[in-house]
Amino acid sequence: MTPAEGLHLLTVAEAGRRFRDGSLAPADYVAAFIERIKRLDPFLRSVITLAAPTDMEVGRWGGPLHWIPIGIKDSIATAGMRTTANSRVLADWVPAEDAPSVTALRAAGAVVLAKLNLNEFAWGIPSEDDLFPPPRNPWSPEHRAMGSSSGSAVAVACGLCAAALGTDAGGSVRQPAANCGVVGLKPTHALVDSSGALGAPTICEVGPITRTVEDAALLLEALTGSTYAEDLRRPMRRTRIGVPRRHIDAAHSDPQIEAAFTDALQVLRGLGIEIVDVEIEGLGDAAEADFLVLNAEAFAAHEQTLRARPSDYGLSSRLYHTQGAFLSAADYMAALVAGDVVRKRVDVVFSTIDFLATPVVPVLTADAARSAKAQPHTGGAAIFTAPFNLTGHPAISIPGGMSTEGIPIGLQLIGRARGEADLLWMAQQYEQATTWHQMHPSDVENASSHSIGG
Amino acid sequence: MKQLSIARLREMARRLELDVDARELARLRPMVQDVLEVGQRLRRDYAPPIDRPARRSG
Repeated sequence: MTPAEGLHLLTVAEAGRRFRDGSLAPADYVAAFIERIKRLDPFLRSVITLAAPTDMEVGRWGGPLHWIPIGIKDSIATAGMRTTANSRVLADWVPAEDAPSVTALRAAGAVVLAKLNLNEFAWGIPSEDDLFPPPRNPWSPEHRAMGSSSGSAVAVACGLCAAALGTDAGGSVRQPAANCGVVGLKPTHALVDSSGALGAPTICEVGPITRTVEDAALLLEALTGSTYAEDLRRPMRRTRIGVPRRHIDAAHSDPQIEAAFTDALQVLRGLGIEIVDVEIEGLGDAAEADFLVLNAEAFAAHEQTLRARPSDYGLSSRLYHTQGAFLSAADYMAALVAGDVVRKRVDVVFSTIDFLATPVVPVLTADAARSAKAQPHTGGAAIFTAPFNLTGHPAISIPGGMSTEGIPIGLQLIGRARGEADLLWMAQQYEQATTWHQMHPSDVENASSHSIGG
Repeated sequence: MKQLSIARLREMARRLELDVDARELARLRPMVQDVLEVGQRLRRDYAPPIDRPARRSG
């Protein structure tokens, strides 16, 4: 066993503790990730750009993320580092400035290790002829990872970086996190400064993808300047979780996902938490309305480039960005009103419960999520995640099961607006009562030495 | 909502001055049909009020 072996399994919190007690040299830690990227990523395809050594310098003082190697979704601007959004449109774009979220992580001492793969402009169905072909799911390499922050979830799951940033306009942090067996947090709308990240501004949030809930709290601290990790240590208190049963049943999820959700609720009951069914009219409307906003804002942002350089978009991304052209201002306004109406209904329900719980995604694989039947362009596969982009409530995906095919399944918890401290606390209570987060896709080391077609 | 025909979609694209070929029209047709249906449903169920909400005085 080499000294570097196992370092990639340390959480951000553990690595920080070992830096402070002197038992781990930061340079050795970062080197372990670079070695893994070079060895494993040609197969996994999660990394678009590996930072040059000069880009990895950190300041003299170590903040709470001192020397923690972070991956950044390649639609988030990084100063001096190519930011492609996995599109030929931006193949050579080197931003002059970091996005504020990246600035915040660097200020906390983080090392920007790599730019990570994604669906083109985070909107469309990936294909092998994309600028960078889609990442494989390390748990089942014949499948692609769910997106759009696919590279971020794959890289964290495989120990290619300690944590990552993604963006989420309908589930693009939470779904890949669930699909890869890691934690993904979509913060409350506008809690994190998401400017400098390419995405629909009304609904898209920058959020962390991590191995544990504690790590998500540490990254959120750096992103917001507020404290979250300390709150995780609060003792269990009387808690009530609402289950929007009718909405969940209407999705007709894969039976394995339904079973995992039932088991997760049982774990929560075992913690002394009261589980009650709740009725929130219009959650399905909110999912569709979220994607209508996404369609309209995506076309508005891309119209000039679509007209000038259509062939620089992949076919799927071009069509996904074009469909918004056919919508009217009245459509867009109605979608925003739907968000206001459903947000108020959710807030009313939150006067009687502390959290909502749902599955993360109704299907097990990326192919199923992207099939025409799933209607991904109108939010069909995002039926559980997208409503809370439009309402703005924070939502977290945590590992919550494993399918018989060996593909992870997530549990989604939703909290009150700006209630991230409570939400992270609840998520960690569940995490610590289960072992799902301790599982790693160990077969990837063997799979990467074999060729898989497609 | 009536089925959106390729001919109708082509005409809509022409009015919007969108440069889409036959293959793209064929793939766009069900997508545009779906988003138009969503929009129609949302306009029916979530139309913004004609009047502005009253503001409390004082």
